[in-house]
Amino acid sequence: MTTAVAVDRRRTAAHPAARRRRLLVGLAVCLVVLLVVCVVSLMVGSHALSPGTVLETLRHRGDDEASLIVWDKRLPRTLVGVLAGLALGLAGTVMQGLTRNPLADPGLLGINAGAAVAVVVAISAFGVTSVAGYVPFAFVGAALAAVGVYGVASVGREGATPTKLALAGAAVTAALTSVVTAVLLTSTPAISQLRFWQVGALAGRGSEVAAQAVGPIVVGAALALALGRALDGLALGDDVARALGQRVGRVRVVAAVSVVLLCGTATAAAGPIAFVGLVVPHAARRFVGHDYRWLLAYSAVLAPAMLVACDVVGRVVAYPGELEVGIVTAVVGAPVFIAIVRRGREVTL
Amino acid sequence: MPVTATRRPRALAALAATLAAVVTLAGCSSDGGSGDGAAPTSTTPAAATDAFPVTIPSALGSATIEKKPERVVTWGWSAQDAVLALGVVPAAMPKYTYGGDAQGVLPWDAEKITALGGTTPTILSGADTGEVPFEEIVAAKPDVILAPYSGLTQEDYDKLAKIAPTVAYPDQPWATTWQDVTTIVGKALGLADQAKQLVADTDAYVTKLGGENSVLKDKTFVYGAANQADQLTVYKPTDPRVQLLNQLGMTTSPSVAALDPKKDDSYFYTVSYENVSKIDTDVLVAYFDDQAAADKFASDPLIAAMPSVKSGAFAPIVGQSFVMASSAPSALSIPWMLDKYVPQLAAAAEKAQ
Repeated sequence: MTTAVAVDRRRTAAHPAARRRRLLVGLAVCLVVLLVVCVVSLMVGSHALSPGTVLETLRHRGDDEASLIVWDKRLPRTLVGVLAGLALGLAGTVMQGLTRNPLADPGLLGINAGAAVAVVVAISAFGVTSVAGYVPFAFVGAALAAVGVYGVASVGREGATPTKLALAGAAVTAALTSVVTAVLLTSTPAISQLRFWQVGALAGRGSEVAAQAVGPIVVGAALALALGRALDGLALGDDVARALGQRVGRVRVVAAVSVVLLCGTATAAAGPIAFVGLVVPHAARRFVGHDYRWLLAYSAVLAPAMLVACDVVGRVVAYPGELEVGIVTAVVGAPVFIAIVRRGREVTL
Repeated sequence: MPVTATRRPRALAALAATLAAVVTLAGCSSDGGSGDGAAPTSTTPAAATDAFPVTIPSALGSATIEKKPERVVTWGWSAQDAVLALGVVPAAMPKYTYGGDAQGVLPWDAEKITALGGTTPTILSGADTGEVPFEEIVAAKPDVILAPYSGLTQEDYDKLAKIAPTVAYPDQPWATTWQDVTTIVGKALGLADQAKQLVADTDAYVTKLGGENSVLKDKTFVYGAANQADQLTVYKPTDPRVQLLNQLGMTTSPSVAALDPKKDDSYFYTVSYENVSKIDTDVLVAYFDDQAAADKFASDPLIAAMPSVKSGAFAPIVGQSFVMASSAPSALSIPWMLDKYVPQLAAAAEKAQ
């Protein structure tokens, strides 16, 4: 008996360091994966270019076709993909921790829908025509939606519980989505502009979109990555978190700000992309466990890898055309979503 | 008149449709149903000899029209153009949010309704979403439903056929020539001879226009659109847009068939901007809602590098009504748009290398 306990103690004592090493190595592997995916994203596209040609083009940017393809198309869409993926992965992880809901996705709290409504309003009422012009609007829309959802969920004595947040998010999403539909049915300028945006895509965004998205995403990502320990506390329940000395209210506000920054910017830049923010934290959780500091780090690396990889797949499966990345992530993500729902054990966290 | 049709405007529209039908059909000796009391007018030849009942086959089922229809409901594109061109104002027709006026009526339809002294028909909702507004169609009390250029499903068709005899597309959805649309509509309305004449007149007009702009002869073209991010939509030869340019004497670029990923019944496919260099064409035609969209398209580095665009042989069709006219050509829309567009097209063709 006593020896068994002692062995157990020794094992747990030795565990953290070994676990830390294992997780660090894992994270390094994930970084390599992301790097490889990005290189593949420059090499592979709808128009077959040999790796040699691509490398030559990267060394000497000319005005030949290969240069245009690599520099003006593949490079910007890879950058947008990395940024949007980072944003969606972190936002999904934060939201899962914040709501204690493993099905949380940037779509859940009405964030994407809020951004979408704002973009539609930007186009139809303010005549905004460039994707770069959507970003501030989507940002405000995402923030308003988040505040609205949080406000609705906070009504009542027990405050914004995870269940109420999820329900309020679903309701607000439904309402906002119908607003988008209503505007689309009556405003033709909005339709023609939204064609390029309403299916999430990394193509056609250009480097100026990536440049405009960098700022808010970096700030949002910094906030999100700093939330790890707080989210670990929240996972134990509000009361325990408070007992541990956490200011639960402030954590929630910081988390909400980071989610709004990340989702608003990602949605404005790429359009609505589902499932990345859901699937990646779950995949990471299988390896990392429930430690949010590591979960956030893993999601920040794996989500861009997944998004850019999905984009590469979309480029080659529909020759001579392409499949938008939003469609590819849905095809990949939907079965995972169903698997998560079916595995009820994890749903209760 | 507001578009929200109440009972009264609907009744007025019906009356107008009936009157228009009566005036046009005047002198149809074989028709005893609606022609009674109407005196033959001097301008309308007493040519129609169609006998009802008439049975019109379609891909989804055949429609038997027992007597000359008075209340005509159209669905899909172009059918209302053909009905109006034959002098009949429909009882109800789809709303054209795109290219239409505030009520959703296309400019050439509005002009023709005015010319016929008719009242704006009931405007059916849902055309932009593809959902058939069954209740609105029931309320329009149709004698016949004409949807020869539409995307009706078998399920839609079966429901519509319970409301009134329904004429769907003869072969594939969204792949009926405007000539066939006109002929089918003419047959359904008992105006087959007039329809034949209308097609011949319009064809002659297009051919004449092509002849007057000889630079178009045998120039190859690709008919495209920019509807998806960094992808060029390419319309196939089955599309009326393409066929209209064929009629002007131009030739569909061989690249359209060469790049076609699957030779199925779809009427377009997309080409990634990465692959537009594989398109070999003298002239590039594409439609845009406004000049800004056209400029943005042409300034994409890969599009700008296409030889056709580089040489100035890019002939954008700009403006929603123009887009609609060229996308759904008909006996009404063709003259409306070609007079303005063909000079631009010819100027672009001059620059082709």
